[in-house]
Amino acid sequence: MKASDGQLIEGTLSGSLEAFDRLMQRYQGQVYGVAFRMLGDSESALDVTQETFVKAYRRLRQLRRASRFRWWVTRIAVNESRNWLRRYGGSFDYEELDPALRDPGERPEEAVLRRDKRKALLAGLDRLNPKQRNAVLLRYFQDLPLREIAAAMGCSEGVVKNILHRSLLKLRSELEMRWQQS
Amino acid sequence: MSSCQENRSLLEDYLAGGLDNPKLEKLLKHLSDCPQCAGVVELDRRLGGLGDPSDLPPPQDFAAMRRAVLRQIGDAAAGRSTRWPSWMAAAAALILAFLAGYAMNWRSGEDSDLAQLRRALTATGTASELAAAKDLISNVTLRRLPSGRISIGLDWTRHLELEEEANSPLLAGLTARVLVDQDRLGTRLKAVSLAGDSSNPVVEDALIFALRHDPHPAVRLRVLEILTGLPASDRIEAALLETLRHDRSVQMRMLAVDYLVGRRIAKDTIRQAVEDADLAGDSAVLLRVFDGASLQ
Repeated sequence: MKASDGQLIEGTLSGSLEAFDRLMQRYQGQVYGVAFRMLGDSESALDVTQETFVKAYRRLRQLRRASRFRWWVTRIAVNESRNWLRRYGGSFDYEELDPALRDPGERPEEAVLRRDKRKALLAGLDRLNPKQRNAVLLRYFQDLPLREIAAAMGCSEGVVKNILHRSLLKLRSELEMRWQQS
Repeated sequence: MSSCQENRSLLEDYLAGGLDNPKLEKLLKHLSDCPQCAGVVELDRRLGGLGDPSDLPPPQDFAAMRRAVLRQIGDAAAGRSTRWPSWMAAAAALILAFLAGYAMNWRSGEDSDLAQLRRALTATGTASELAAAKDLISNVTLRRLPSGRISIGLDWTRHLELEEEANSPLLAGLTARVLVDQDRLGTRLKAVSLAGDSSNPVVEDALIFALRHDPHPAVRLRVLEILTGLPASDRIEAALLETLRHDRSVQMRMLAVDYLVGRRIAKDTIRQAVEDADLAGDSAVLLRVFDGASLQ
């Protein structure tokens, strides 16, 4: 029978690395997906996935409800990806240069434009307030449905809709300002 | 024309996951008249398309990642505190007495490991020789401490933690190893940032090696930034001409052109290197050669 997240977490906390390995197998695709969306690069995403699981293991005792593991571990992945961008994302751009991500028909100037927009988009997230940023990250980076976003944020679905709308309006005006300045 | 206020709930529903057909048509009609709401929908599309992770890495990459995690956390798990039954407390006292004696020998074992490591990392050799040698060093972590010293963790004959001065020969040797062995991306980037402080020729050699061989453009870009900040030399100029001939990244080749033009390398030599490459984006790079040269 398939072990629940709770059983695997309990096993891990009792010292079973095998249990933690099974947890990683269960969530590695999801964690990698979050990191990939934020970083746009497979090698960095895999590195961040590794960092995420190391942090998750070290903080596992802080997790209060096993049923929240999925949400909790992807939040760590989002934070680790943001740290990664802060540390290494300043002056280079992965996706223009990674052949796996580059459209062969795309001209260099188009690639530069696309890359700059992506960078501005991620930088614009820092201008949102924490609640707005959370809603955008949960919706677009963790790919959660409305119901789960509402549960994660502890508010109603109607409030989440409202926050998302306001977030995108604010993000859009931030981006317009940046593009006009540049 | 309907107002944004009237269509607000439709737009909110759309952003939250979609709309059914009649409502969608009504929203689309509004979007065609309202650039602000159309901009929000465009942003939604752009955010949704930031990346498609449907192509997951092969299972062996995930397996290697998990092994690395388990190695990293293995020590912590082994060292996790355990609540002992009271009868074991007395036994623990005896064991502690034994360990005190054992630690004396263990300490000298540690010194011997460190001495061996120091010898291995400070041995001379070219970057290519280092790459071929494949030392048994793995899981390297590098961290700059507030004091300016560097905290190093690595697996050698066993896991070692040490601190070194930023200009120590051991750190230079380790930085070179990390760069040529193509360790994890994060470690390589950290090594490159430390390499900027080093004047050790072993490190410069490893940087030039990484500029040519590192698979990741982020590392090559950082390496290029550091090399172009070092005192000019024929080796660095030759390495950047090689970048023009081989590097697939337009950004890398543009930066190499800027440096070479600034060093007043003959325009024909640079142009020839670009043309030898026959890579995508050559026309943009060639344009840079002529634009840059005309500004000198």
